[in-house]
Amino acid sequence: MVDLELRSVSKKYAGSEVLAVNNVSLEIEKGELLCLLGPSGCGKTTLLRMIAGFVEPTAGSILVKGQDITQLPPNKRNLGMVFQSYALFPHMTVLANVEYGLRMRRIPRTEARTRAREMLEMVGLLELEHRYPRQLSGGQQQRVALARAMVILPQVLLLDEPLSNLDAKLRQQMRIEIRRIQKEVGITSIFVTHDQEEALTLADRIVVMDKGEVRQVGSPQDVYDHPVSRFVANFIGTCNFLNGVLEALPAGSEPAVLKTDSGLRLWCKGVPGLATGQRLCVAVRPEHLELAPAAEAERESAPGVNAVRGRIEHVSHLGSIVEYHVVLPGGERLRVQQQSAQSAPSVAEGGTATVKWAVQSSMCFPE
Amino acid sequence: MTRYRKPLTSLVGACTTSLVLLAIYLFLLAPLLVVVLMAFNTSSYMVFPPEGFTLKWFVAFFRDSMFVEALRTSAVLGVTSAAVATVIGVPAALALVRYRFRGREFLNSLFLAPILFPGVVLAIALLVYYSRLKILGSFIGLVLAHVLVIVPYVIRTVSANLYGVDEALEEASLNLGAGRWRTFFEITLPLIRSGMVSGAIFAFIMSFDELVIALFLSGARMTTLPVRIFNFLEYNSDPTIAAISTVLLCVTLLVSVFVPPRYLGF
Ligand SMILES: Nc1ncnc2c1ncn2[C@@H]1O[C@H](COP(=O)(O)OP(=O)(O)OP(=O)(O)O)[C@@H](O)[C@H]1O
Ligand SMILES: [Mg+2]
Repeated sequence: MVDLELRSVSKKYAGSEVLAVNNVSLEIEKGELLCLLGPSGCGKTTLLRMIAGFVEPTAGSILVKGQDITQLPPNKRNLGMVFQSYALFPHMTVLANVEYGLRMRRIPRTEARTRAREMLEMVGLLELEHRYPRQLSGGQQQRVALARAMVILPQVLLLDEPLSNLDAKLRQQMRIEIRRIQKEVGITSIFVTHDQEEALTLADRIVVMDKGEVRQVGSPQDVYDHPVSRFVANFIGTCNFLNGVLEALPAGSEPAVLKTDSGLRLWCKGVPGLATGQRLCVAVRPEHLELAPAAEAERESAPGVNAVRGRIEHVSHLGSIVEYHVVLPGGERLRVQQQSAQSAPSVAEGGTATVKWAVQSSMCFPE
Repeated sequence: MTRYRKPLTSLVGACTTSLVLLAIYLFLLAPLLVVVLMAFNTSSYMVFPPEGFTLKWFVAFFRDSMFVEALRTSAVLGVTSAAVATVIGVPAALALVRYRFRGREFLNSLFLAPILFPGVVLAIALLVYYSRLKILGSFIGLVLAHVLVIVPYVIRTVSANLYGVDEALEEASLNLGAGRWRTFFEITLPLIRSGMVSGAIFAFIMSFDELVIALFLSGARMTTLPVRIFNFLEYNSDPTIAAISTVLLCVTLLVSVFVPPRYLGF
């Protein structure tokens, strides 16, 4: 069942020539947590605020459970919102903050109190109900904001970078917490973030946005493993890019051949509809690259596996993984990641090594 | 060595600053003190040092029906003007701070214009205007004139307060189902209360001791206390005036003592 539907929603702010949000259409299933992910200024907040009713769309319509709410004022929409600044009412106690929405709905006092307390218990703050927001830590304020937005049983919960004011450790903790509560209540949610790691860990589905447009929609695994464009590949996770022109189309068992700008010849995946001479970009994730002793170079460069020699410029130990920065003779830099336990002792900083990757693990984007 | 030198110099600096401040305060407050002392002086002239203790000047003040009437007029005028200015000033500040609309900058400077206008010019302009409207010397005329002068101060204090209130709070309230009015009374108003109260008190005090405009616009039947004092001083010089000043001083002090500092924005 579709809880929220956006139909060709666009927004152009007065005095600006570009569309802050450009023709966005989305469907969000009941109980789903959708992440809006994209670089700063791509229109995530604008889109969320249009759903909440604080920004009027220039075009398009917004439907909740099939009912058009585009013209409804924010207070009639029954959507919960968690603000980046939390926006807790400073002159009210934690309990009064959580009860506020119920009070506005004219729910009887005793029932409102019970429901507010239940919600506070769920976020683990019942013992702080008589405190004022200024007497709480950032993480605690965050929980109150969450409780306040959820207690009204909104049809959709909207969260605009709710974790960006917390430190890294707390952020990871709150991520898990939010996900737990969201699942427990089964509430349909839209979570805005520009942190790809956050999106990957939280989301049922990710919507990648850029310059006001949706670039890709899919499960975290989907957008990570099968990005549709160089932008998405670059934005989600890290990626190595090699630019060049297509020299030969796939022939029999042999894959296509790419000649990089520095003259390197690489096997690459064929993309339907390509012609020789066309500019391409090959992308490989650092964890799909493998390091081997330098001697293996030419021997292994059979169809289906690329092997190029390079100099190891820098080695960083990132705990469970080791990252190597390898410079190819043509000047391209590759980032290679390996499990710490598997890292070969023969490849050290300053030495040469062979970088190998299977053609299936690479991606190919026409430019 | 250097470790000890620094606190020492800063101590000397702090002492010097304190002494200078003390001297300035004494210079400013000494005349007030002299006036208070003279109010209790037995001599019929304003002389210093005092010759003996008496309360007769206070009695004279409260026996003088013109003074008492003027005091009443000023108090009612001050309260009315402050109330009207607050009722106008709060929505005006809200509009100027929260909404983007055409002509906002213009309106902003228009609201501040009376502060920049010389009082005499405004008084003369209103004099001409009021005599046409036949409200010269009326209470309503005085209220309007004072509101004109004090509204900018109310707008200022309330705006300053409003800038400090996160707009997201109002949005959160809307999001939780409260309408615009409900949001104003539940969220905005409580959060700008201090600015509003200090603006209103400021407005009251400004109206209460405003002389120039009242001098031009008040008539024989509608005289404010500052105008009455001014007229009295033309022909008399006994310490009744000192007694009045002392009473006014006490009123001001009481206001600042009984209104918690947080309402005054300190
Ligand atoms: N009130 C406004 N008036 C005019 N332009 C605006 C307004 N709000 C946002 N914009 C513009 O619209 C575009 C999208 O802004 P938006 O705030 O939606 O981005 P965002 O994806 O939330 O970015 P961030 O990650 O930095 O929060 C930006 O180019 C921004 O400058
Ligand atoms: Mg944003």
